[in-house]
Amino acid sequence: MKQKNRNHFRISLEILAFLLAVFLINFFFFSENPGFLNGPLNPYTALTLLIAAYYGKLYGFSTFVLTIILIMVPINKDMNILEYWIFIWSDQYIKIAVNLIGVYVLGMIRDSYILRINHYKSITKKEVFEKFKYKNEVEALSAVNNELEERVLRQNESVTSLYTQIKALHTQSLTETLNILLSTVNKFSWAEKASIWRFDPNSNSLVMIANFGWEANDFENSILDMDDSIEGWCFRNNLKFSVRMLLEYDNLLKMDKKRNIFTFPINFSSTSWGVLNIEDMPFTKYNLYVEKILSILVDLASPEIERAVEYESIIAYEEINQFTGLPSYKQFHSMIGINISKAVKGNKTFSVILLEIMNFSSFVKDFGEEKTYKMILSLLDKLNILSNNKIDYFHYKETNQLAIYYPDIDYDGVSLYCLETLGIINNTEWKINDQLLALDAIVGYSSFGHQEISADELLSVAENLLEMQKV
Amino acid sequence: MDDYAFFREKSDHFMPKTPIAALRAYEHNFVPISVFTNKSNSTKPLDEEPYDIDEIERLLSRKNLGLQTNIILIEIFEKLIFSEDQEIALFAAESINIIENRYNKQIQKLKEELKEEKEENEDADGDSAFEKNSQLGSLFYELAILNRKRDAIKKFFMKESYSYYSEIRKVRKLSDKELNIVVRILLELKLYLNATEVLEKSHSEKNAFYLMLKAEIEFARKEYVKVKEICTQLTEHIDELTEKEFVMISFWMGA
Repeated sequence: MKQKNRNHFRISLEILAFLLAVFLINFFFFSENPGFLNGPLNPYTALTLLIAAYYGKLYGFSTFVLTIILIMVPINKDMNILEYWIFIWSDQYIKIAVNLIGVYVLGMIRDSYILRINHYKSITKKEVFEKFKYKNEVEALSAVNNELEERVLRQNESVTSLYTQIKALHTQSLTETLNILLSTVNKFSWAEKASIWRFDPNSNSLVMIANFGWEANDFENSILDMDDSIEGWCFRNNLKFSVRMLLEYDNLLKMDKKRNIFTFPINFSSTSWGVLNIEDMPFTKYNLYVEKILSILVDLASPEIERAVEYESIIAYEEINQFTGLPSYKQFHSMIGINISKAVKGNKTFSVILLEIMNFSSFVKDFGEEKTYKMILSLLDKLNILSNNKIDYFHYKETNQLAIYYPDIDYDGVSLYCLETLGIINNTEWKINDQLLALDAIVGYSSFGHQEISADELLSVAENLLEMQKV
Repeated sequence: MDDYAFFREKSDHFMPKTPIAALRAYEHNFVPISVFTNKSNSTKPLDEEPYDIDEIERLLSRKNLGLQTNIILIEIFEKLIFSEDQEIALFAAESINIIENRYNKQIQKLKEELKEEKEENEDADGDSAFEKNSQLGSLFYELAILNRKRDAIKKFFMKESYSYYSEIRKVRKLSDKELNIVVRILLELKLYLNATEVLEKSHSEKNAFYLMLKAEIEFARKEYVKVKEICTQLTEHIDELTEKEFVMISFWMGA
């Protein structure tokens, strides 16, 4: 409002100054031509029209009135005022009327023009405001989007994550399986210290077999008495322990060495094997949800631990290949024998796959055994991923032959798997020393159904398939 | 036709490769909005193997990532460092550096601002200086958490963080957020008695926040009888507890 008043005042002063200037010029330099009435161009008229065009009707009319007043001032002392006024009226009334119409028309044009500009200004102002509003809204929405996406991305306790971890438990090494179990425990319970204990029947004690977060002094207690420890109590009674039980049971309180928050027995299908102990975890994670998740985890991990234990019991480590670290044919054969009797009892199926690299000897000749086997190991990795980490692999009778044990799969499933295996072999770019190679391999397979046959018979079926492809 | 039919149809659609290209294509009506949604979001947890390197890289490019996301990213990169693919191993090492540098830059900037403020007015102990000390403490704490597998570095950052909060404690009481961090630092450093002392001095009101922190300290000290007592006291503050806290307390009370 103040600004507006200031503008009016400024314009009024401007107009008065102009009029005064014209009047003074008239007074001092053209006193014989009062009001510039005798001439083709009247500065007063021009000024009035200019003001109307520039500042609008109101200022135009005001200037017009002031102009008339100034023109009516007799600048020559000898003039008769009345006669002068009559002269103005009689001689100039048409020009005055034209000037008045001119002021009105130019003022109207200017006012409508200003009106249109103001209209566009208000539209632009509104749009700029909307633009900033939308910009803020977009920023807010994108922040929400980022937050929601991050929440999804960082969910590391999801069911899919649990599934991936359980799948990863299937390894050919007990140590590796137990370490994966501990890392899964860490992931789901945020445990800072945990350990797995295995029952040793010879010493009738529990022996620590895997841990994380242990410090040097913790290793002083890596063998536990069965009767004087909470771990032993869990193992003997096949019961889980939760630290709040200390507040209810005196017998547990007596055994407590401040080393147990959660303790779970690990059982195989027929026997008790050991315990999982959570020694340190954040207070916020000590709740029913974590207790249940850990119970589920132990139940799901038990068959994989059992498998790894059995696997290790039949593997003689002195017979593993120095380049691949894989067990020999002899161990494969005895494992197949054990699995046949288990499959008969449990009414289960499994398959064996034999893989023969036809150009193995030329690779060995050109690049040596170590690099050739490294390439073959990368093939086995791909096959393991293809099987969802279910297979175990071994060396077979010849150096260029490998054997794969695939549990819980019948002949139609394994034939599809073999087909995909050949697809992987043919579609992958195999390289040694950055040199592109063509891997020539043949595959044979055989499945154990529900009819009992010997390991030799089972393997001969797969071998025959290999031989047929060589003809 | 639903938006996702665009993906199912095997025709020669223009398929943008980046989120920005997808947004522009959507603005000009070449593709449905679902293409932008698809390109700019992921619903797969980051920590799922095999890792989606593109997705990890896209997320890493955001500068204002939260602590939890940074923790997961660092864990992933620490695994990827051992990748046989040298390019991926290098990417992982550089990415860890990027995350740590982001923290270092913020810390450096705050330190300089704090120094300037002190030079301008030596007696300056205003709110702005406290705020900066608090931010520095929080940033050092986050750095410690990111380095939790490297014990020596973790402890160094924890001590740095603690020193900033100590500056604040000399003049005023710690806010709940600051107190929470200080107690956690002391618990990490296994200074349980100090944690109790700080808590008692900084928080006179025995509300749910105080009791939860107290329970956390006693749990870390393995004083489970005391934890149960505190949980019993917490049942009188049920209105102040979050759903998660309520479930925790119920568990202790035998539910």
